[in-house]
Amino acid sequence: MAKRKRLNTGVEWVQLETTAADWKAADPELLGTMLGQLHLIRAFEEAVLDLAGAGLVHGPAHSSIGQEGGAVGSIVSLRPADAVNGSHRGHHQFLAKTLAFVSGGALDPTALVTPDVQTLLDRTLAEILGLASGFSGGRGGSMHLQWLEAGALGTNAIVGGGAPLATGHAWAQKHAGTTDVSINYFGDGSSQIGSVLESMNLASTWKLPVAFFIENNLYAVSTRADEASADTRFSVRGQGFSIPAWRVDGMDPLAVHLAMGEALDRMRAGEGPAIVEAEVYRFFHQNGPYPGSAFGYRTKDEEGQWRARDPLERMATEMRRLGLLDDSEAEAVREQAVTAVAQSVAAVVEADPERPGRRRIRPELWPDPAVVDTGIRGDASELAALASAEPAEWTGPWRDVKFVDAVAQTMDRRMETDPRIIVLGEDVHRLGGGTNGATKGLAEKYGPDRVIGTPISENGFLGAAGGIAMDGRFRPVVEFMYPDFMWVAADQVFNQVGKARHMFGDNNTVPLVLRTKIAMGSGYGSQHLMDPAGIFATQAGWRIVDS
Amino acid sequence: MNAALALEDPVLVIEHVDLYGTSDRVPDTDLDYVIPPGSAAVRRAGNDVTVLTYLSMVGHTLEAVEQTGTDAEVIDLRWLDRASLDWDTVGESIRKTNAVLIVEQGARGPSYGAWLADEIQRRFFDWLDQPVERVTGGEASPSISKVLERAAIARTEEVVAGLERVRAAGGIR
Amino acid sequence: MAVVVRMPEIATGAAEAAIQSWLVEVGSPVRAGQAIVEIETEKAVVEYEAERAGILAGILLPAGQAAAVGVPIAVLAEDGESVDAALAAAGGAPAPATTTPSDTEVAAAPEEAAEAPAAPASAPVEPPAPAPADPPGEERRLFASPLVRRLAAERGIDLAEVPGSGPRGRIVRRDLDAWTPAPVERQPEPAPEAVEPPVVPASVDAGYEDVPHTGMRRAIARRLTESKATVPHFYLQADCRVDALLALRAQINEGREQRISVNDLVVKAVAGALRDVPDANAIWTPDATRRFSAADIAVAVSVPGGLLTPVVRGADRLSIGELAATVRDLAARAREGRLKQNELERGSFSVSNLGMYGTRRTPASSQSEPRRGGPWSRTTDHWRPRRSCR
Repeated sequence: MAKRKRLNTGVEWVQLETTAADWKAADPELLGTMLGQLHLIRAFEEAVLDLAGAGLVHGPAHSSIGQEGGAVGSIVSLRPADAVNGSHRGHHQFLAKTLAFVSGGALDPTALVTPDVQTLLDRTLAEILGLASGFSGGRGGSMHLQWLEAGALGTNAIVGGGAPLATGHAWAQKHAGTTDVSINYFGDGSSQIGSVLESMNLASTWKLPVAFFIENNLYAVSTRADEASADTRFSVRGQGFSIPAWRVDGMDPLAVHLAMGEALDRMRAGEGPAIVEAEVYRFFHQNGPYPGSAFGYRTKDEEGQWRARDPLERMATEMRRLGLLDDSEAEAVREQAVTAVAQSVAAVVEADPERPGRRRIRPELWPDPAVVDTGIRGDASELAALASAEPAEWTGPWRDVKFVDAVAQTMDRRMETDPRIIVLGEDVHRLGGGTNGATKGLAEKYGPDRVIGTPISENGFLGAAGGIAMDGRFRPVVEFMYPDFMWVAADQVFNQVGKARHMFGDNNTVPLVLRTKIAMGSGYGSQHLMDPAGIFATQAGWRIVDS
Repeated sequence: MNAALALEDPVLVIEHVDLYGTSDRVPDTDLDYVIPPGSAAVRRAGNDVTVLTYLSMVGHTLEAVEQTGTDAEVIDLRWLDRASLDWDTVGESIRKTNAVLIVEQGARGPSYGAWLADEIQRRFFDWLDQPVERVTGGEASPSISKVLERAAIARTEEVVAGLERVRAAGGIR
Repeated sequence: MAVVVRMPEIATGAAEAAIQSWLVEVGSPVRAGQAIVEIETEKAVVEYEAERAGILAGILLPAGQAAAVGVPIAVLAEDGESVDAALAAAGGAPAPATTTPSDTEVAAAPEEAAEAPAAPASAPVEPPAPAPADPPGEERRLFASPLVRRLAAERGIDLAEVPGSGPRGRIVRRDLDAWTPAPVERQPEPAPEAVEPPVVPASVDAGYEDVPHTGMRRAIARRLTESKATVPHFYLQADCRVDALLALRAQINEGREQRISVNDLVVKAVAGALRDVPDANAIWTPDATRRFSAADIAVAVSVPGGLLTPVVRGADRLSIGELAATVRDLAARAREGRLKQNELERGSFSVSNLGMYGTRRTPASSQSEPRRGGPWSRTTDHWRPRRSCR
């Protein structure tokens, strides 16, 4: 009989629950702030659903009602320079981060709505409704909600689409010498998709300060968690990627907060990524104002059970128990939130003169259709200061050089003069400059922090480079060994990098260079030999130049 | 590359295996100059047909032009995306020659020239003496067998054939 | 592999032609270069040679029938291939008839030789490739490149007149550039003689009858109009006392079986005149005056359905007897429709004789009603040298 030895990952995986003592020890101001955020988010989400029910939200409205605890608990003590991004269901994380930003991190439940808070609610609602005063001029809407200043990198409509971007952002934070972190929020439904798994691997291998926060609400639209994964404790993935993980009850905001705190400690200490899995429940269906039970994939009973665990109720109850809150105060928090949100709604909606009893968006608030194609790309004015030259007209002396060496030498010159430039790609750091020698000498000269050999995961590392580029402190040059690998990375190349600038209302740039080589004639066959120019030419956000 | 790195936009920089090993030369300075978007290079001036191409096909085109004795104007596009294409140079050439041949190496499906041909016929319809002619690879992606790979892509011979089609259609001797 | 033989374009610009006779039987083997059919156009009969070897698998257009250029007329097959298979394999749509052996003769003299090119060739820049098929009928779509359309509009050129050398007869820029709207090769007015109704079914209606034009008739009309409209005409008239000439003729004809006609003598005189005054034996081209070295004189011959003007080459060097014989031969073959294409081309002067019909004066290029006269008006032989000057 063969000898067996049990192997271990040695990677931490814990379930964390609060005790009464934890609640007692909690900072009252923290609890008050969380309560305030919870209510503001709840009231806001209710209003959004109401507007959706009235047909005034163009597109889907993915409500986070029921899941606020996970967002508030994990974000409340982040720094402004910390970053979050989320999924299509991301209002709660966005609001938590931006509320913390505008309020300096603390909310007073008795005076909840400062002017800054009101403005924030107004602008968020405007963006979700597609109006010009929104953060992205109405272009992003619910699923592309971004406020970079506040550290909200942008929710993402593609499942798992934000994971590589957050990973890249974390890379930038680390290599800029900070202890800032990034958190990527996604759900049980996203925990199987390649970009998430690739990002976990990159984060772990490169020891990046990124947290993967899994909101396990048991359903991906109508598909149950146990239909999507063998182990429905999704934080188990940490075991496979050497990432320590915490499981918590997402309906207990304090538990989330504590778990996140431990994760933050680890990340800020430079030890690498973390996974936090919060069990939550969305009280409504995927999209819109009806309960999931109405669609038949879950029972009213189940819904009832979870409603009993409403995080707002939990928070209020605990605070009452601690004597920090009485009923009327609790009521007042709710009222302030509802009033503030009602004000936001009133600012954008009016009675429809043509349909009595109905409302409509105030017509003057729509963005001007004329701006439809602005902000796809820059105007290249950043080149104006640089000397341009036409080699064909050069009258000075020449230097003989092999073409590929010219490529490497140009990169060398650029990396020498601009410390922001980094190179990522498979084997670019070895083999005398990658598979063709185009990065020759660079790894030796600039080291592994600037010339990075990547694991084979094009979607992951191109997306990470996208995140790095969007952060702006570094300028990545990514190499795809063969052009056809664009298909492997297609979501990040086209849906993310190619669209980001326009989609977010021209609020960010993506200065990323992607190098690849046409290899027709090399015998590498049907899956390696395309000319990428044609496909990239279909994508408005990309510029294309040949070498 | 310098321009690509300086730009705030995502830029795809395409190289070609055929060119890596070629002996080339560069201005003997620090390699700092940029070739900004909107600058195509006329590699050969001519009067009878405008050939638009890029990368390794520039060399093949020049060879084919030489072989057929066509008085072609060969333009190396360099910047390829819709917003960065040098329409001034392209337009000036088409108004002179009244015939266009777009030359690329790869398969027809994801081909680059398809949108370019559409754009050209839209902008320069009244200067065109014949339809925009194309040289591309075949329909399917090139496979590994050396002979089949060669048959699937375009090189000098295919450009020769393309030039001859243009000449025939335009009555160019 | 089977080959579909299509109606070739015998003369530049001809839209259709007719089978005169098949020279090979179905089932017989055919060598490359062997003449397999005689094809007749408005003006000439041409032997068409097979481009490849094969077996004549089927005749699609019998003798006596006409069809548009490009229409399949026969199928050459390999051993054992059936006509249908061959047809199917070779495709059905009429394609432009490109170079055929007989066309190469034509291509050498690329003017519209179907009409009587009694006046010599004009500016010789012509589209090198043979113009492909024009679908028959009135509603012909004009194929012209966008560039050409714009330029034609700017230059005020009617594209219907311009031959196209591009694919499908498309007019390309070079065609337009080569197009000079003053067509030189036009010529002597067709004598307005008796026109017999063509053998084509006419539409009959109460009160009138439409007799469809033949290609020849159409061509004559077009050329005539062009000539009159674009070439400066001037007229010189003289009355001649020809008693001495008639006496000479009588003398020559003594004892001759083949009698010399007055026309023959006139032709000879014209030939001599051209030799004596070389400047009169010349035409205008855009860059130069082209002086011909020989006196090639076209003689007008009335044929059923119209007029032909075969050319007597080097009339100044022929004896009167030779000249007469030549003219007689040309006239006979003209009436039989058996002239060769090159016999209709490149005359530098033409002579027509209407005297036998009693005409006193026929202004050049007139389109008067056909006249009939009887042979009794011989006593007043009038003839006029006609030519067009440039």
